[in-house]
Amino acid sequence: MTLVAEFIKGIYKENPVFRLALGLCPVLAVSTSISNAIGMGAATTFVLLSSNTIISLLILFFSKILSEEGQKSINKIRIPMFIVVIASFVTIVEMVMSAYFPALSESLGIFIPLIVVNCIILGRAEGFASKNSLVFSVMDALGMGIGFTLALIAIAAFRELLGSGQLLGVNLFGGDYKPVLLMILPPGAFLVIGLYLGILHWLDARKK
Amino acid sequence: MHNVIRLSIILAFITLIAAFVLAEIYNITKPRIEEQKLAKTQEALKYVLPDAQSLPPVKKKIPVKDGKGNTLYEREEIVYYKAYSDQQEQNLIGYAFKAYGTGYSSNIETMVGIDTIGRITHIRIISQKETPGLGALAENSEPFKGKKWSTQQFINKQIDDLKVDKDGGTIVSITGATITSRAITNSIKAKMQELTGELDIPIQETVEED
Repeated sequence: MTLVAEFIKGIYKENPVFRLALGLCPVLAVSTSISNAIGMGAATTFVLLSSNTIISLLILFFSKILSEEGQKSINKIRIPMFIVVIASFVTIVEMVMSAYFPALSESLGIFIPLIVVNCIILGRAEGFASKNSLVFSVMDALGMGIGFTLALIAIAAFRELLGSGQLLGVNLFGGDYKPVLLMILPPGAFLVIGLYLGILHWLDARKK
Repeated sequence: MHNVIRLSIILAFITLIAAFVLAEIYNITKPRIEEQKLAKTQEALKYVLPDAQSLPPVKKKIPVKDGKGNTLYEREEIVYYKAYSDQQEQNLIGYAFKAYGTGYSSNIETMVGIDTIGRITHIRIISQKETPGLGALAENSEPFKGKKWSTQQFINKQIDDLKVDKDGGTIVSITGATITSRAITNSIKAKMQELTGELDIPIQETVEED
């Protein structure tokens, strides 16, 4: 696989939200407005990129200094290792966000610390970064991160438009529009994700 | 055995680096985070009492006790703010305080400004995490037209007016979020009642409702 293909796959063919159905919990929770979606997407992409880079380097480092047998035993502590790396980056994001983007950090709230347990990140660390070289891991993280962000924005745009009559906080329909509250409540997230999944599957089926 | 020690050392080393990096970043961001919090309080104070030039906090020492009742140390807490219209702190125009209420899904923190005779000058929701589109609308401060919630409807209200319409009062609650509206209204009322004794506010005759 080429580098470009590694990057592109995260956006459409292996989109973490729509194709791999990973990390749906934050997607359901923060896709109520586009600004939330962008903030969450950026935070996740940063954590994904940093953890993929560090984990890929760590594995490379151990493969250089340890014997075959040593590398096998390192395998036993790989999950705690990954978690420490991921949790550190998430904590960094949390601190930096509340220092420099207080409004965003407040509206995302608990979902920033919860990136630690976002399965996209551990999934990519375990399934990709620990087995591939640095450059490929970086491309994979970028693709997956951007794919996640785009998916979030796609869902959030739909929900914000119908649920509060706005796009990026700009009122579109004027004062008389009665927002469909359901769309920004949890059921709305399920409906929109289901709708998108249906459309994607329909497109795939038509191609065949 | 040899393996266990080796793995422990590797893991300890990784966590050590992580701890070091985190400590550094904590040190960098901490003053900034505190600054942001303070700025938010100041902004809310300015909003509820726009005429105030000086807002000295009134602090109270709260003893922190251990199990046997011995005082361990004293914790300082801001009870309310005094608002003066001049820098020399001569002309008292009112007070400001924070009210805390438990809403539908979060604690709601509200900054309230009152004048010297106990009328609310304005309120401002400082923090809340209520349902988006329902309870979260509590922050809305559009001009109050009479049938929709707005924080502006609190202007000029006194203790006894603080009751939501569902409880037979005059505060128009947020459609679909009575709990949030009630939490805000009642928390302000409770705090005002608590402070009436401490502030020099003439206590009004409570009119018994029938």
